[in-house]
Amino acid sequence: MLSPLVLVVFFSFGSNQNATFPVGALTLDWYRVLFKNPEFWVGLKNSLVITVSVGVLSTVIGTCAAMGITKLKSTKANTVISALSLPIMMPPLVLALALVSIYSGLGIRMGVHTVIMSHLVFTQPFVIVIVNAQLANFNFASVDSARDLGASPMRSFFDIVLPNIRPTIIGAALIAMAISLDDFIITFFTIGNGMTLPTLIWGMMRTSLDPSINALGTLVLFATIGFSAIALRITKYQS
Amino acid sequence: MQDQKTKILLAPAALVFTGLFVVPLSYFFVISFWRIRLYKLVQDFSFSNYVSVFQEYMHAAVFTFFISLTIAIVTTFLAFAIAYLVRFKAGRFGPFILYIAMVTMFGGYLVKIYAWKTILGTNGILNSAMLWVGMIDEPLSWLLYSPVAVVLTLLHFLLPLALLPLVGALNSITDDPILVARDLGATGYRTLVDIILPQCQPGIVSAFALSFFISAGDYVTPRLVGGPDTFMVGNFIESQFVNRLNAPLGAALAFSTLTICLIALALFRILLSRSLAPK
Amino acid sequence: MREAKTSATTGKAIVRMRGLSKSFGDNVAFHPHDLDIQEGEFLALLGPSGCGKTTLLKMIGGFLAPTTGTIEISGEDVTRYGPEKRRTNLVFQGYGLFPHMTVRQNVAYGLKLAQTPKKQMDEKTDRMLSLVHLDGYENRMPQALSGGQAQRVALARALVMEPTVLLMDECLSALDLQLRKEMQDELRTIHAALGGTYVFVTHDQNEAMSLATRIAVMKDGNIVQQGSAKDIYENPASRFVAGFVGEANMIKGRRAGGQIHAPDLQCAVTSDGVDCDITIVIRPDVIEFANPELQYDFAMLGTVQSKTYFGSHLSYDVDLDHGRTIKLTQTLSPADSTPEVGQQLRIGWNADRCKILEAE
Repeated sequence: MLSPLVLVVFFSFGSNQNATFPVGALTLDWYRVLFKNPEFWVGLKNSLVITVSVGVLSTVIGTCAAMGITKLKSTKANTVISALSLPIMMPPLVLALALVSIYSGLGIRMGVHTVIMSHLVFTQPFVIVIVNAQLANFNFASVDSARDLGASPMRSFFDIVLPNIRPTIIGAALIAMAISLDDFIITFFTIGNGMTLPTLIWGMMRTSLDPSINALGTLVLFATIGFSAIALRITKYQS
Repeated sequence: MQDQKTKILLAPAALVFTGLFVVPLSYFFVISFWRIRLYKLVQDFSFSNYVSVFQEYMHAAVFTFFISLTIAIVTTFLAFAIAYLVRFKAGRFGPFILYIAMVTMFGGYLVKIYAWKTILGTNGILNSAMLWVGMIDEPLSWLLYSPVAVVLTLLHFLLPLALLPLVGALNSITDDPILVARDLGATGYRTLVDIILPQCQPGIVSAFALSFFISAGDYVTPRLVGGPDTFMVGNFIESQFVNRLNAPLGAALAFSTLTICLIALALFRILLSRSLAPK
Repeated sequence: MREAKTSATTGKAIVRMRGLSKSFGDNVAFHPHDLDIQEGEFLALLGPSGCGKTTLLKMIGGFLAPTTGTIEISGEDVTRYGPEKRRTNLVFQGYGLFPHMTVRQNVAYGLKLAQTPKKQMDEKTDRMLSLVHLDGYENRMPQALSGGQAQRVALARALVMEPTVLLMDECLSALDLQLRKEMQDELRTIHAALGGTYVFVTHDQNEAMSLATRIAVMKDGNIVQQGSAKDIYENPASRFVAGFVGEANMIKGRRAGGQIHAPDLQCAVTSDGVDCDITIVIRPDVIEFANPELQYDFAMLGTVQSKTYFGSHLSYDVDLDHGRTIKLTQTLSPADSTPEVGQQLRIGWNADRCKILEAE
């Protein structure tokens, strides 16, 4: 499963133009080419804004929802979780086109903000599932004890619940960010004329056989894999 | 009071879900009955879009259906095998294998497709390697730009995704019933069929549904590695939007595909539960 | 390696274990033992958690391969056989019901695997379900059962296989007291009705005493004593057994020249045997509030420190003059006078009702 990805990394440091063996001499040329490309910096900025916003928003919304879900009866909780997870199952193309249709139908200008909104719908289920799984193991008697000792509901959340699920929340946020950064189809359709790193890759793949694509691919790869690897580490892959 | 609070907590998520999923899809569904006149949407209620879907895109739908089915079956099978190894056979290496699998889940959708392009190309690694070993005399051109390439690429992309629900399902199976089955005389194979598989049913269905739907709706993979003959429904849907600006027909095509997929999924579910039901 | 402890007896042994042991790495879970299980007996493996009782049970069932030694069942060496090849069946602590099968399917599963003809399978299943009082629950799913019912299904599922040895792993421990007592009665009835050899693991001495025809008390991977409940209660072989099976007062002392000297005792008592350190084990029920007209081998003065009412009996803590507390119980009959807290009185017991343990 790893090897195709390793290849991309490999080629990004090789001097061979055609991304075939032999790789050629070790070089950082493709990264230099990439960094001279102004589009790269535009895409990077947009990707950063989108990834961070989606990470923060979906984590807050998802954690609230997970808290709410733990208060429901288990059958109802399962129904809510399955319903909220439907967007993951939906082919991204269909979701993207539906979103584009409604944005243009309502006359909403598309850009980075519409991408952020659109990403929320399929990143929040991941946060909900991950946080909910952790809360299922959480002993709510300790919250009751805190309340009994005089803590307000808010206070008891920040003092008791949050410290216990903090790693999970950070993990969930990183997963949401990795998914957001990884998405191409929905971003492509909902960003209007804008550009992110994945759409830049798309453009490069279609137009040229520019080996700096390997360099860009490697960067995106390390970012998403980095996020998820750290996330899995902290959450100890509970989900 | 308690109810109120639960509602408040769930409200933002529900808003996102409704506003950015339910409403757009409903609107999209409504559009599929509209028409396009002079590049403008005209509100209407006609099945003409669906009629043209049946007339013009049947071949693409059938092709998409079978290729997605192949991908879904192979992916689910392989994912189950890996999940099974992780749960029962790999011992200490289990979590490590799982970790690698989960990490590759987010390896960049486009990057993965690109990687397969370099592997399968005429000058790609696979051809070069086979030439070097002497298995073939000239590069196999059908490796890239063929249905095979689509299947391989999507399989690679979907495997970690399909792994998740299966690992979850296998982990929720406790050891005791498995030991009891052995105690009652069940062989490893019987334990798998009678005890383990029936309890994994929801996980199997999720993995299958996930791979099936995502394959059936994909257009990037066939575009980049599928070649001129591998046009899937996703490519037609996309081109209706992007090239022909005919959103209603695209929408109709999307919902027809979804419906067929849902029927197929329902059939798969019934078949699966029939074949796994305890007798 | 140590010599295997032999507790094998002659007679009709259905399970014969020789030099059996189990280690996990450096940790010895079960030290080498010879052990026989007689046909028709109801054997309890009793001990605290971590004593190796479940390890032993799982070796008999084939779930754990022994590190050394052999196991024969019905004269056949089954040491290398997995559970599926042994005619033993185990009732798990958590029951291990198949969650996707009905009660009936659960019970019939083993017969199905054995390719029992349909008619015979149905008959056996029905008979077993009614034996455990589950008629009418055949089509329930395990999730819809109470703890007691789930327990019965697990039991029926094992019993229907007519195992040579039925093994049970703490299978009543999840039930509440009332239900556990009922199940104990039922198990005894079933054992009497069907016969067969049962081995069960428990940490509950009451359960062991109420069910077993023989108890093997275990500690740290060793079987430290075996015998009937009465044997073990009245003649514990060690301080551990005395404390684990029933309540006991234990007084340390020394025997020298046929005389027992113990700081806690206010009297001198004669005892035959070599000179050594000893422990006197006295069950609370053999100690009496002294009747002035009677003579006691052991007698001493004390003050009632607490008094607890248990319905059928009273339990007292009596402080002896130099701080030691003795527990005693008094069976109630209307004629008895019951001393009050703070009262000074004499207590006593006879040498033949207590046990003297040497050098421990």
